[in-house]
Amino acid sequence: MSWEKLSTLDRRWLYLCLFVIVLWQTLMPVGVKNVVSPMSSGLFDYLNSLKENDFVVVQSDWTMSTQGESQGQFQALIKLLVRKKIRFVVTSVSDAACPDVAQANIEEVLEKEPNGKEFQENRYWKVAGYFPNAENHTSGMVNNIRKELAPKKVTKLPVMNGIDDLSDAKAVIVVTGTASIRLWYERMNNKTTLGLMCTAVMSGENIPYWLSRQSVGIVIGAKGAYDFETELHDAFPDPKYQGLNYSTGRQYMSPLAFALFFLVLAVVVGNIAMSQARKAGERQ
Amino acid sequence: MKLNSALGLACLAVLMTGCQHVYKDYPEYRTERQVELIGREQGDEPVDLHDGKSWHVWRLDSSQCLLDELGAKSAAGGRSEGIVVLRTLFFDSDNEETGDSKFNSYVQEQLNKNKPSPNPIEKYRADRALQLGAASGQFLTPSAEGHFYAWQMPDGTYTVDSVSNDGKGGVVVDTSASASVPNLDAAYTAAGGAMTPNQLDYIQARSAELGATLDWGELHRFWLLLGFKKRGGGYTLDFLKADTSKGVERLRSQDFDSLNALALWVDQNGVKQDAAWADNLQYRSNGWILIGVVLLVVASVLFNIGRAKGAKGVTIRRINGLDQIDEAVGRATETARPVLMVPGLSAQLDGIAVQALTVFAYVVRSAARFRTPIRLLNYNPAVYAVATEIVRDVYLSEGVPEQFDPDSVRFVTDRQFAFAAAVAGLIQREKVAAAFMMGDFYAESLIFAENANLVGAIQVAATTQFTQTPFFIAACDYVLLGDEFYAASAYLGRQPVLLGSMVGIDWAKMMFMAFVVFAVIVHSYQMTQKVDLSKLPPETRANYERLHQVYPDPNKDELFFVKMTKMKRF
Amino acid sequence: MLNYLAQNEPPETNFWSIERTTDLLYLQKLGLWILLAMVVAGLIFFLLARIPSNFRRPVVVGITFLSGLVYVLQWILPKSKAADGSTVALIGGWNFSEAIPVVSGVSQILSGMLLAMGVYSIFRLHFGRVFKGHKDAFFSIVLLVSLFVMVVFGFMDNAAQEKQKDDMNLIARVKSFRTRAVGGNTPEFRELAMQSAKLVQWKRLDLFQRDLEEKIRKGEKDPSVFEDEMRAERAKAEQAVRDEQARIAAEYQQNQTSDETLATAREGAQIMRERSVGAQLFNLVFFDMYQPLETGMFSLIAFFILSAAFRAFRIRSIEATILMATALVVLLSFIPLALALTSGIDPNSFAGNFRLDSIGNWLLGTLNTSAIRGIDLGLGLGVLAMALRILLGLERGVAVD
Repeated sequence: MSWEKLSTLDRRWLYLCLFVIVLWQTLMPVGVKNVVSPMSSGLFDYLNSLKENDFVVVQSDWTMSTQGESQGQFQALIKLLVRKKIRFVVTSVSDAACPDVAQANIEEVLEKEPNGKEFQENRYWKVAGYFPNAENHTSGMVNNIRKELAPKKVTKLPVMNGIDDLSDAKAVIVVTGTASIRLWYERMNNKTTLGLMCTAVMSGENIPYWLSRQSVGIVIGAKGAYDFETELHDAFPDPKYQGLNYSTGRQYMSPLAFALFFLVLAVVVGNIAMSQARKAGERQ
Repeated sequence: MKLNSALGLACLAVLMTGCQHVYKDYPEYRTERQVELIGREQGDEPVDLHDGKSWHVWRLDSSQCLLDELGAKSAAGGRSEGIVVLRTLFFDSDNEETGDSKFNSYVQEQLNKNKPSPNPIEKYRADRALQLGAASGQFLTPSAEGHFYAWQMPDGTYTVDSVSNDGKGGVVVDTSASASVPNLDAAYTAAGGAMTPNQLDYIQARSAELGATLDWGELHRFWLLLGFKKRGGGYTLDFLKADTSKGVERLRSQDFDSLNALALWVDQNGVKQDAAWADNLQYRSNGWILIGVVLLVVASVLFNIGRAKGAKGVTIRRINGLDQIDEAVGRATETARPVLMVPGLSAQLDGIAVQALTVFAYVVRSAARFRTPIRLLNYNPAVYAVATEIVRDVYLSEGVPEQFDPDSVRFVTDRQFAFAAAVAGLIQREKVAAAFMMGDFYAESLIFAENANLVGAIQVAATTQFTQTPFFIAACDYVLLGDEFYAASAYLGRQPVLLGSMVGIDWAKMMFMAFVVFAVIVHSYQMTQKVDLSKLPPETRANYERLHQVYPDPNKDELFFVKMTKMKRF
Repeated sequence: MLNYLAQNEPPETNFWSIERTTDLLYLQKLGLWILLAMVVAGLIFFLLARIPSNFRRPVVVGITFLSGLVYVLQWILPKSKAADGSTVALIGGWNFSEAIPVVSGVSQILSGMLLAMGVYSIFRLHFGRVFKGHKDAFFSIVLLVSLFVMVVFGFMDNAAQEKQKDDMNLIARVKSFRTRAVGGNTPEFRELAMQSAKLVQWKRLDLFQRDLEEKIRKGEKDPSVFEDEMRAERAKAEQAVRDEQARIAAEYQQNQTSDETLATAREGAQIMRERSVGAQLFNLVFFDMYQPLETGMFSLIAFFILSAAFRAFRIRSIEATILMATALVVLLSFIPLALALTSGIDPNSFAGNFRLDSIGNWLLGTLNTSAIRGIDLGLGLGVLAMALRILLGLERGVAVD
């Protein structure tokens, strides 16, 4: 194959190679020790410092289309909240399917967690549902959380005992594949702590808000999910949690890593081929 | 005739919306209301909520309840015309989780509220003084449920009562839990500590101002209420912000004849929970500075619009992507392939979608001139409606209305990846020659761009989501970065108004740059100056002393611009 | 003591808040309201169409301005209640915030109507293709069939939800009525309870079977015991159903309702909803077909990123080289395998500044952040200017005067 042909390789060969690499790593993953990012540990450390029966709001704005990143993040978050016995209410503003996805994932985590049965719905957690108007909902949560959640019949449940205002919540954590976090930056007004779990592509625009301390931590993409699972593993060494800490975060890291390596390799090879082809052309 | 019809309709509307139905008497009300709730009522009965009003409850088939407040309608001369329903309250089904009946809970609350208090506060104080044989009593500190009150006994010891509010202007005291302490300091300790230095300073100053002593107080979630007993008689109630760590802020004051009247007013009128949110407007805590800056920017834009109208043309630098529109449409004409336009995935018809359609109107004009087919695919139905009208108008203005194909402007779907699949499919099937993608794009941006690249289309893209800009740059021929998208309409039309607004925005950017430079210099200087601790509020001073800090803390409000942004409006 | 009554006061009711039913009177009133709305809307459109052409633009600009002004004033002006609950008159005491839900409601109604227009567009295009025998008519048929199937299954699922709601209301009514002199059970509730008793036991049997299969798969139990254990459990379940139904029948005779029966009925209503044909069909097309398709479309992006990067990331200049190197470092800082190469360096030492994660974080935190802040500022100002132009009617369009 000439350098020219390599430089303009048919993309289908690239797709085939990527498919084979991802399949190989999914079936035979290579495990590597993780280096946790300070952005992920910021959120984890804050949530880990909360006490039993504290209350947080979780805004779940992801569906199965971003499950590769968001599912690992969400489940790791729920595991932490369940183990610390922190109460939470789940709201959604992006898509009407988000509450169902959240409910299914929470139930999946509770089925496996050792104290999942004690962590009863309505007492410790509740999925409030979908709120169509994101701006009004966020303003409502900040201004008068009970009034905002009352139509979903959540406020009289034990999960919201003693929660009169958003400042009674220890954190608002947004798990999203969209830009719904922006509304919280604009309207939060320092009432409580903000945390974000987002897809990797959203990281760039949210890091400035972490640096300015408007959010306590950002969990970014599949790597962030793996970071959170690593922190879970380190924070809960009890044997009863063995085999429960890691899930899709670690599972997807290996194929992701190899896919990215392949991408770098393809770019490097493409550039080498281009320069060699150019030199060959000049010689001719 | 037409006027009569309109008036008739107006009367009908008023009838439907406004007029109260007058029932001749009580039996007629019950009969007619039963008909209105046809088949759904299971029972009805009058209810006495001890508030002097007439209530009637209707229990519905679905275990919901309606509660009518009835009133008498009087004609001129005081003659009674009948009964009207003043308002109706609606109670949902019983709470499935807790088993409470919402209607029963409401009735209980109203009964509790409307019965007078059995123990008004002045009665409590008089009775308690007699009971204890106390020499005198004094207010100690407010608490969340009420306040602590200390009685000085003849032997010099003190008895501390925890006084709780009963919600009806009276008090409830569990005397068995009262503490007996040797002196006043111990009384404060039993009450959980004295009030803070800021609060004590305020109380001292206010007492001197009013010629009064502090005799009552309550600590609510966001407010601290203090009642001062004036020497000449009467009480003054001060509303303070509960957070006094940075200083005491009094919102308002009100006078009362007696302590009973004060306590009753507080419970009835209330420092309502939802009043707290008056403090939490989006820009309220940022104060005037944010409003002022926005108005400055607006003024800059408007000024330059006015300036541009009169002056000769303002120049804008070349924007490659927009210069290529005609070439792209021309290439499509040569290859007899359509031009694709996608105005983004805006959730609603917002300014970004409108801007995209404005640029597309220009593209459609070129296409109309060259008789090139177009495809305008929409994610949002509102954008679709506007796009249809814009495209139709463009063809009309070009004098070729017959060329307009309604099917060329389509609503596809409002699901993100279904839309992506549809657009990708259209690109592949129709082999578009030019693709214009402008507006809000998310993860599907690369799907569009790569598919168009596969068929060899020339692509011009613009997005406000800068996380998608790199994908467009990698895959498209021309990309409008950031502000260039907003300048598009000004660039293409060259209207003075639009050009002037661009200049105004540039002025605003320069203003912000000046702010940044100025703030860096001022804050850097401030950070090198030692803090005068005596000028700080007591709590802040204590914090500085604890941390052995002498230079300003950038996290606190001492820095110049930070202080400015926190200046309150109200 | 805080007064919660203000926010927990039940809403005042009117025609719209009473629960929907199929009663004739309710439908008549609803029909009258719709007719009135259509007449008023027609009148407005008629008047608008009669406006002389030189007044049209001022009318459009005026309506645009007033609509936008509501939101602007709502954010700038304070509420009409003062912080302590007393009223501060602002504009005749009217609180702009109370207008927002009304305006939002109007815009939501408009969105609904526009969605109908969009669906009409789909029908016009695809039915046209089908009837004209267009070469892509097959895809149009697939689209139309999918659309109708989704709508029908969606309504079926909705009907199942409504049935569950009716069952829950029935249970709530029986629960509250049982404490009143009027009395408890109704024949409908007895029917529901009887059916629920059966469904609850069959669900427990299903769970038992699943659990048993899991244990056999893990090797905790021998496969040969499956039949015997299932037979025994089935017999137990059948007996439990008989006992439960007998108990319910006895309660009905005594005109009583126990908490146990209510709990069974509640669980049974939930199972009926889950197992209804509507719910299953909807779950099939939405969760089992549409969601995986959506995930599949999303995963295509991975391949497109690869081909776009291979094609576009070519070093043709010094700036491109710097960009490429930076991108490479940031990319590698997200891969644990690459981070492991430098993870041995002490992060607190000088050399720690050259760890891959340190460099990556510095690039993201310093270079990337400043650029994003600058772009963000520009975009924000651009939105402000554009919104101002639209609000004031200065945006005229570049192709049409």
